Amino acid sequence: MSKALLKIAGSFSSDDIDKITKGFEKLLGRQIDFEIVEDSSLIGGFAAYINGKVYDSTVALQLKNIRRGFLKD
Amino acid sequence: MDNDFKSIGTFLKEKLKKFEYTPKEYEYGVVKSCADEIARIDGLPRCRYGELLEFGGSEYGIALELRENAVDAVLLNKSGTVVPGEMVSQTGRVAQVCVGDGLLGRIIDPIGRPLDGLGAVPSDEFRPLESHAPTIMQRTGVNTPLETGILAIDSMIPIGRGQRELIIGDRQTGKTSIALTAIINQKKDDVFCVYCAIGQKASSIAQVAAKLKSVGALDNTVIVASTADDCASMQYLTPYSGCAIAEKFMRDGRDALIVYDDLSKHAAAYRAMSLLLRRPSGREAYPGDVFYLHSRLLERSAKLSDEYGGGSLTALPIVETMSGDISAYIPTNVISITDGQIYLESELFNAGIRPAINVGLSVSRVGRSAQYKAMSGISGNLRLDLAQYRDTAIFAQFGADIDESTASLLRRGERLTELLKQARDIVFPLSRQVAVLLSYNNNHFDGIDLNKVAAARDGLLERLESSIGDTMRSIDGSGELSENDMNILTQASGAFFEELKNAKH
Repeated sequence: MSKALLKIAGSFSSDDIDKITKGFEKLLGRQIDFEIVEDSSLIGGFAAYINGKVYDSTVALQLKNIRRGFLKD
Repeated sequence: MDNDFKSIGTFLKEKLKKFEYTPKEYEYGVVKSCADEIARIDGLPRCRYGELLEFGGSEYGIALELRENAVDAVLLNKSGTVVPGEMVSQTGRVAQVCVGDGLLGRIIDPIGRPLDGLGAVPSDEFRPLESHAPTIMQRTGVNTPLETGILAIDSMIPIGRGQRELIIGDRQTGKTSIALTAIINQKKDDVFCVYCAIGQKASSIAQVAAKLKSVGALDNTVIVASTADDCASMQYLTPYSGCAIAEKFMRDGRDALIVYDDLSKHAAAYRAMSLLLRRPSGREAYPGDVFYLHSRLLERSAKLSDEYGGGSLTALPIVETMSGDISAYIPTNVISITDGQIYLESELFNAGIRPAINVGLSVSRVGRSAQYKAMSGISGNLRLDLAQYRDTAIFAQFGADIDESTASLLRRGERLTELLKQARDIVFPLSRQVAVLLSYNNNHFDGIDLNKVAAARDGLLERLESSIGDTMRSIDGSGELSENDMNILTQASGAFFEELKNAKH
């Protein structure tokens, strides 16, 4: 079982966290033990830090992408 | 008004259509320790050298030491927000700076943030701070002069566009003044200037900006500044950033001049960074690659061939010596990299000879071929005259009896030294330089009291301007001294000195 960090924005239900954990276990093919941290700067969504990699699905990242896209045009 | 809001709304909607919700997967590292603006990071196994790293979304650093599964990076700010345990992510970019005409007249820091309180810098083009120098095939020989407006330099140590000419001397010998005069003189020639202030006092930078503004030269100048208060990494990046900005002008087929003020402070900042990164130190505690630090910077100056637009980038690096010691590590390095040096001496400066150029130790290795014909025709023996005078003057000090030819040599030398004195920020266009040297060659100044030589020179120039202004313009325009122009000039100056002589009696 590998240790990992799950950053979430606001409070998630334990069902949601279970779903996320299952999803990652399926994706990576091994058991994962998430330490849960609440971080409001993510605005929404979650980011999983597993073994040197971030799986980022936060609103903060999406906003940053939109900002970059605007600056580029 | 409502219409405006509506159109903004549709514009934004249109833009946002392109965006899709896409989760992202990337590597991250964790700050292990952080001290003196150096962060040691665990992780980031695929980080590239020089890559920009993002610390917790607000702070940035540059990866400068890559190890297996660990990275050392220098932080770009002294915000103190980076703490152990902080997440670090790669940006996939190297440090870059905005470039283009929008920067002219602005003062920015090495990563393009405005320092002059005039709002964001209007530019949408970026260049990486570090880039390759033009290749051999892209270059051509230096063939156009870059006038500094300083008689002593343009006549004896001429600088060509695309050349690298070092300005070296102790503190308070007028190094920055020479560079600023050169910048001021580019106003008329469409040469774009970049002034890099590296680790200087904020007050000095303010003075430089005020000076350039007061004479209207700031409009074609960009000032890239890091102050003594900025961290070593910022000071380290300053010249590369300025060079990237100047390179853009060159690549667009225009002419640019860049002043690095000064590279000794740059080397000191790099030494601080290297020592903190625990790199092995060598001579004077500088790291092994301190030569490469400056050679790769100065190699980016070039004169491009016509196929590549024919632009040029001239560099005037400045190096400060300690009590005239040009054999210290950094001075010898930069002397060997550049195409010549202008050596300033504090003894000359204190004796009132300003600019305090030591003609014997100053050289220009390529500029001669780029000198204007009008100037090269009449400045040929100046160096020899001056060198002979300096040698002889030492012996004459002992009060020995001197023959007539030696006395004449001394007399001419004294007058030449007087003629080469030039007040700060006063620039002499080519025609005026030619007029002064022509009168000197014709021995017109020999009969004038030493303390009246400068006044006679100024009087002569004033007279020529009013009597043969058209000829002066044509010399400036063509860069050549036709026989006809020469005759007019000789006659007009002859008449002036004749009058001066008669007025005395």
